[in-house]
Amino acid sequence: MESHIALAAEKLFQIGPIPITNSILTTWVVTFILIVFALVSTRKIAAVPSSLQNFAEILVESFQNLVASIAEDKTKIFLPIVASFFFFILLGNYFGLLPGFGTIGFFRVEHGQKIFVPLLRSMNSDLNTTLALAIVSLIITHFLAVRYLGIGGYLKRYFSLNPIFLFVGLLEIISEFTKVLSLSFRLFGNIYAGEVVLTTAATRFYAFLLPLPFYFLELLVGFIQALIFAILTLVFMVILTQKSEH
Amino acid sequence: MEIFKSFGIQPVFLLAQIVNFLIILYLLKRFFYKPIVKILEDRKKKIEESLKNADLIEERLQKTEEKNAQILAEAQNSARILIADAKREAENINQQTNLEARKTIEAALVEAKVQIEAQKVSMQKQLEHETLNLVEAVVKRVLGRSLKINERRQLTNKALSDIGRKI
Repeated sequence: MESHIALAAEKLFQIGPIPITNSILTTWVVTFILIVFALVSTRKIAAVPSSLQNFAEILVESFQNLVASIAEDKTKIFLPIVASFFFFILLGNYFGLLPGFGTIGFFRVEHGQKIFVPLLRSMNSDLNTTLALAIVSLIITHFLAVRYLGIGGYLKRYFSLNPIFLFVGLLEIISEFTKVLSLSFRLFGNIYAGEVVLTTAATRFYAFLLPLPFYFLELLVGFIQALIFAILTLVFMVILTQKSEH
Repeated sequence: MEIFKSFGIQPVFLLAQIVNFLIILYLLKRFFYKPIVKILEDRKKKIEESLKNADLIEERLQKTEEKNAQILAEAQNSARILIADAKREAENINQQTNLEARKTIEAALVEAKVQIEAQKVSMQKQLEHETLNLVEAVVKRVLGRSLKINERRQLTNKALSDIGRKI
């Protein structure tokens, strides 16, 4: 059987007028797991932590230290946002490495061709997901910038009476759009490429042992990409909430 | 926008993912970060307090120990004074008792002497009387007459002085 991974996520079914793709289905599963873990680990929160609470504390505290080293006094506001990006992306990436992803599915005839539709697809190998995350990151960053600097201080970064600074401001506006593109395409590209590598190694070459090194590589990539997304979001937030020099 | 189409970008999916992430963000913030950050801070505060308390307790302990040592020293000191006092008192009592005993003994001695003296005198008198009677009886038998008053006195005096010498 030959497996081919499409660039776009495949549609599975429709709920009313809303189509549901396999990556959205995965996103829901990941969301469910994340929320359930969050609720269970903090259900019986106590000063002397249980094992699950202990694990949750390690996650939050280590990330808190990381955020605090960059954001300092704004840690309390930034931590939930940045950490949510990290945990959501990390869990999504690792979840997509589980067996069954991209391999369990069904065949559907489309345009007279028989097409294999996997039931689950790693959520970050769909540009919709990563673009959505990048857009949320951008919107929250700008929202926080307005909150910290006021609307005047926020606009001063982009608009100025000085022609040189006006041009700089224009570049800043363009850079905001490139931020979204770079954030979304970096994450999507890495995870999608990982999927392709794993599928190719398993289906075109040899399915036993050969994909194993790539799985380790993907574990590393999944972690690094989640961290990069979170840290870049954090850095953008810190930069935009500081008073501009001009 | 051909590129977006080939990547499968659709506003519906984008919106779905955005809403999904915002829900995650809200729920995690509310039910995950907030309680955990709070409990971490609480614990930190508690530990700081405990450390401060430990310092305080140590300080207090040191003070107590110092006080203990001081009290002990004071007690030892007062005990020493007490013992010294007691010794002195005992010595005083001893001395006084000795003195009194001596006095009593001396008094008894004097009394005994007086008694002895009196006895001696009475004995002398009795002896004198008996001797005189004896001498008179002897003289009566030998001379066939009684002693004259003059001789009697002479004899008596001689005998007395003899006895006195002998005693």
